[in-house]
Amino acid sequence: MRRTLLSAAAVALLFVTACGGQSPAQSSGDTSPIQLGAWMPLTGSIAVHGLAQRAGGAAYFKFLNDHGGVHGRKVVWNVEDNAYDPQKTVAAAHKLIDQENSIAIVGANGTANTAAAFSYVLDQAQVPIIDTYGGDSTWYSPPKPLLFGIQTLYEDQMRVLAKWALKDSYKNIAIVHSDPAAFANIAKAGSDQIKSTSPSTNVMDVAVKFNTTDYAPVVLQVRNLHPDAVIMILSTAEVVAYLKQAAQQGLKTGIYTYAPNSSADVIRLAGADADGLKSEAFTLPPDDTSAAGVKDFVNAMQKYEAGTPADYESEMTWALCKVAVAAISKISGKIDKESIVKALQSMSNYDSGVMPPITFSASQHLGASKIQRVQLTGGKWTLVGSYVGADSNL
Amino acid sequence: MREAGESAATVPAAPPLRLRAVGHRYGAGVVALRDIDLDVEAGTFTLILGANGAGKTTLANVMGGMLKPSSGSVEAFGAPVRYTENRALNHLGIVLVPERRRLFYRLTVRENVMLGAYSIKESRKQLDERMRAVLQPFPSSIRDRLDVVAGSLSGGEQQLLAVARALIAKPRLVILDEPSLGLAPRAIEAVYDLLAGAREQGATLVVIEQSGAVALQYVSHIAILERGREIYRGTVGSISQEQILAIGYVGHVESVETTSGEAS
Amino acid sequence: MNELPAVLVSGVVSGATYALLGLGIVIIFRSTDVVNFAIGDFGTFGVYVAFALLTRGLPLLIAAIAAVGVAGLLGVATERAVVRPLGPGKTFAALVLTLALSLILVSLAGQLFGHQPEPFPALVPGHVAILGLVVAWQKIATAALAVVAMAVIAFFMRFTRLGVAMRAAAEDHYAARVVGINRGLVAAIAWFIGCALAGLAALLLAPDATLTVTLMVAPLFRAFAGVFLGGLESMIGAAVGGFAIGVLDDLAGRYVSASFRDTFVFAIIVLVLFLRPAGLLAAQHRQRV
Repeated sequence: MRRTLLSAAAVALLFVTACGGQSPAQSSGDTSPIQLGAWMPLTGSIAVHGLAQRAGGAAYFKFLNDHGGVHGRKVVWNVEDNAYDPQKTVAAAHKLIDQENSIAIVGANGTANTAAAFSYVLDQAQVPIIDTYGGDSTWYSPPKPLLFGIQTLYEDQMRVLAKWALKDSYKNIAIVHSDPAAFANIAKAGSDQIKSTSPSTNVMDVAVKFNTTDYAPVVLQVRNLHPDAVIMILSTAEVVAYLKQAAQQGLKTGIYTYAPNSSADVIRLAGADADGLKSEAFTLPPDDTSAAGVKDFVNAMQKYEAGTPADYESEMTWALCKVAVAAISKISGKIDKESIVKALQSMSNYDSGVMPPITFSASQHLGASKIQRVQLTGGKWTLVGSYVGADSNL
Repeated sequence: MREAGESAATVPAAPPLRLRAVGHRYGAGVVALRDIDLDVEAGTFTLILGANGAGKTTLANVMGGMLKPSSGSVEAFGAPVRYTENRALNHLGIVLVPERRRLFYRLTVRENVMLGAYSIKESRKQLDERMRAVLQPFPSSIRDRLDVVAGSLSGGEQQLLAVARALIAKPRLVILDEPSLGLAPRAIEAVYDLLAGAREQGATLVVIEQSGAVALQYVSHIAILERGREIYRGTVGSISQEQILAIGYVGHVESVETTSGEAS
Repeated sequence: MNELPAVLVSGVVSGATYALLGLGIVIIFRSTDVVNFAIGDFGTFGVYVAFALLTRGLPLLIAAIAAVGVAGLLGVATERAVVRPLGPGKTFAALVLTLALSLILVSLAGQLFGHQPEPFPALVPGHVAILGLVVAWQKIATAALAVVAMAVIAFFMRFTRLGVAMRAAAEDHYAARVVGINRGLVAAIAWFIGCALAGLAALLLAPDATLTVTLMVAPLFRAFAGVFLGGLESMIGAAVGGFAIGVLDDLAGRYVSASFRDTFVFAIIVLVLFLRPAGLLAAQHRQRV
C-alpha cells in the first residue's frame, strides 16, 4: 500500500515537473538525456541470453549517441538484472521507473518475467513496454494500450517449425520443452499445428524440469519414444546439454529449435554435436554484412562491445532498440510516455535494415509476424529460404 | 644464583606432575575443584579417592592435559603445562586413560593400540614389534583378537585395551580415571596387575577411584578428595582400610586426620 | 531393443559423481560435524581455475590437477578461517555460514569468470562400442576415476596412520585428543579431501553440462539425497547412496518421466527414511558415550 502511494506520488511528481517545463523550453531546448530501461537475466542459469542481448542494445545506444542521439538528446539505457525471476523483475521495474525515471521499457527480456511486471509498469506507472525479447499471443490480442512488440510470437515460430518438420517428411515428432507454462504453451501450439496439418503424424510431448543440467535421463526417455525428429523448446544451455547427450547415446533424429537458440553460443558450447540443427532467426544473419543495416550492427559491436560476438541474439536486441528509437525520432514536441505511444501507432513499414518491415496501428501492437529459417552446417548458420510466417506454405 | 654443589645435592629432580592451588569452575557457578596442591613423585603409584561429585574426573582431565584449570598452576617435569584445544600431553609422556575408557569402538583392537602410539614417530615395523612386547603380559583375549572391533569386547577386555593403548605410548606418567568402574573384582585385579608391571618398568601412576578396595593393595600413596578439595594426603598405611572404604559409600570422611586441618 | 543396460550405465556414471560428492560431504561431517553446503561451489570454482589455465594453453592434465587442488585448498581455508573460529558444537551456525559462502562463491565466480557458459573439454574424447552399446570414453573415465578415487580414500582411511586417526577422530573427538591426535590437522585434512573430491566431481561433470556457476547445484542436491539414503555418518553409505540415486534417477527418467524424476527419487528417499531414519546403511551400533 505504502509502496503504491509512493510510486503514485513519484509519477505525479514526474508529471508536474514535466508539465512545468513544457511551455517555455519546448522540446528543442531540452538537452537532458532520454531515460529508457530494461531488465535482463545477467546472472543465473540463462545469463548467456541476457548478456548477449544487453551487449546488442548497449552497442546500439552507444552508436546512436556517438551519432548525435535523437532530437539532439542522448539516450540512457539502464539495464537491471532480474536473474530470470518474476519477483526480481518487478523489483527491477520499480527501480527503473521510480528511481531512474525511465519513460519506456525497451528491449527487456522474458515472457513470464515481463508479464509479472505488467501490473506495476503498464497499469500503475503507465509506462509503455516496447519491443520485448519474448511475449505470447495473449499480449497483443486484444492489444494492451501501452504494450508493443516486434518479435514474431514463439507460438508462430513453433508453427513454422512444425510445418518444417512435416515438410521434411518426419512421422514421429517429439517436442521436448521446459515445463513452465510459457514453454508448454509454445509446445502445445506446435502439436496442435501438426495434428491439424497431418493427423496421421505421431506427436509426443516431453516436459523437462526447467534448468535441468543432467540430460542423460531426458535423452533416454526421448529415445524410448523412438521419434524421427525432435523439436526443442528449451534454453540454450539445455539445448546444448541435450545435443551432447544425444550424440553420446547415439540418438540420431532430425533436430529443430526456435529463434532464441540461434546463437554463436550453441556452436561454441555444443561444437560438432550441434551440426545439422535447424532453427529460426528474427533477423538477417549477422555474419553476412552485405546489408547496410547488418554492417552497422557488426561494426558497432566490434567498436563498443568487443567482448561479445555479433550474433543473432545481440542483433535482435539491437533491432528492438532501433525500432523504439525510430518511433522517438518521429515525435515532434515533448518526448514522454504518451508521445512515444502515439509515434509507435503511426509507424508503418519501418525498415530497420536487419529484420522484416515493422507496422503498428491502434489495433495492431505486434509489429512483425515472420521469421527466417536457418540451419547449422559446418559450424555456421546458413539461411534456408526467405522470411516465412505461420500461415505461409513452406 | 645457586651454588653448583648445593643444587645437585639438595634439589630433587622435577616431579612428573606438580599442582599448586589448582581450582576449576564450570561456567559461572559449579565449582569442581578448589585449591588442590599435589606432587606426584617419580616412580610412585598414587591413588586418589573421592565420592561422586568430588571432582575426580575434573582433576583427571586437568592432570591429563585435557582441561585447563581456571586457576592455579600445573607443572609437568618442571615445566608449566601448556593446554591446547588440539591435543593432550602425550608428547610429554603423560597419558590419560579417561573415564569410561573412551576407546574407538568402531575401530579394531589393533587400530586402538596403534593410535595409542600416535605421537611417537617410528616405522610400522618398530610399532609392530613394540606392540608385541607391550601386549605380551596381556591375556590372549586381547592378544589373539587384534582384528575384532573394540566395541565387541567385554567390559573387562575393553579396560585392558584402554591400558594397552596407554602403555604403547611409552608413558612416563599414566593417569587412570576410574579404571575399575563396572568391572568384576577379578577383572579389576587383572588391570592392576598390568599397572604394577608398568610401574616396575619405570612408569609413574596415578589412579583415581571411587572405591579403593582393590587398588589399595597396589598403591604407594593416597589422596582423598571431597567436594573439590583435598582433605587427606599421605602414604598407604597412614589411613585405615575402613575409613577408605567408607568414602565410597558416604562420600566424605568423618574422622581422618587431615593434612590441612580443614576437614569439615 | 532392451535399453536397460544403457540406462544402468548412464545411471552408474552420473551416480559416480554423486558418490564422490556424497563421500566428500560425509568425510567433512564426520570430522567436524559440519554439513558443508558450499562443497559443490568449491568444485565449480576449481574447474573455473582449470578452465582459465586451459585458455592460457596449459595441458589438460595440469588444469585437472589444479581444479582438484584448488577445491581442496578452498576447503582448508574455509575450515581454518570460518568453521574453526566458531568453536566446536556450533553445527547450525557453521551450516548457515557454508550456505552464505556458497552464495558468495557463486557470485564471485560470476564476477571473475563471467556468467557465460563455457565449453569444458572431455578428459578423454571419443566413443567405444561395448556389446552393441555406444559409450563415450568420457563416461568410462568418469566412472573409473571415481572408483579409483574412492579406492584411494578407502586405502588411506583403512591402512595409513593418519587415515586411522581420522576415523578415530570422527568417532570420538575427546578420545582422539586423549591419544594425541591433533584435531586441527585432522579437520584440515578432512576438508581438503572432501572438497578435493567435489573438485573431481565437478571436473567430471563439466564436459557434459558445460561450465557455469550453477554447475554443481543439481548434482549436490542428488548427492545429498544419496547421503541421506546411506546415512550421514557412513562413507560407504554415501558412496553406495550416490550410485543408487544416479541409477534411480535414470530409471525414473527412462521408465517414468524425465520431468517427474526428482519427485520419484525423493519419494523413494522419504520412504527409506521413514523405514530407517538413520539411513539404509547407517552404522548398526553407536557407542559414542
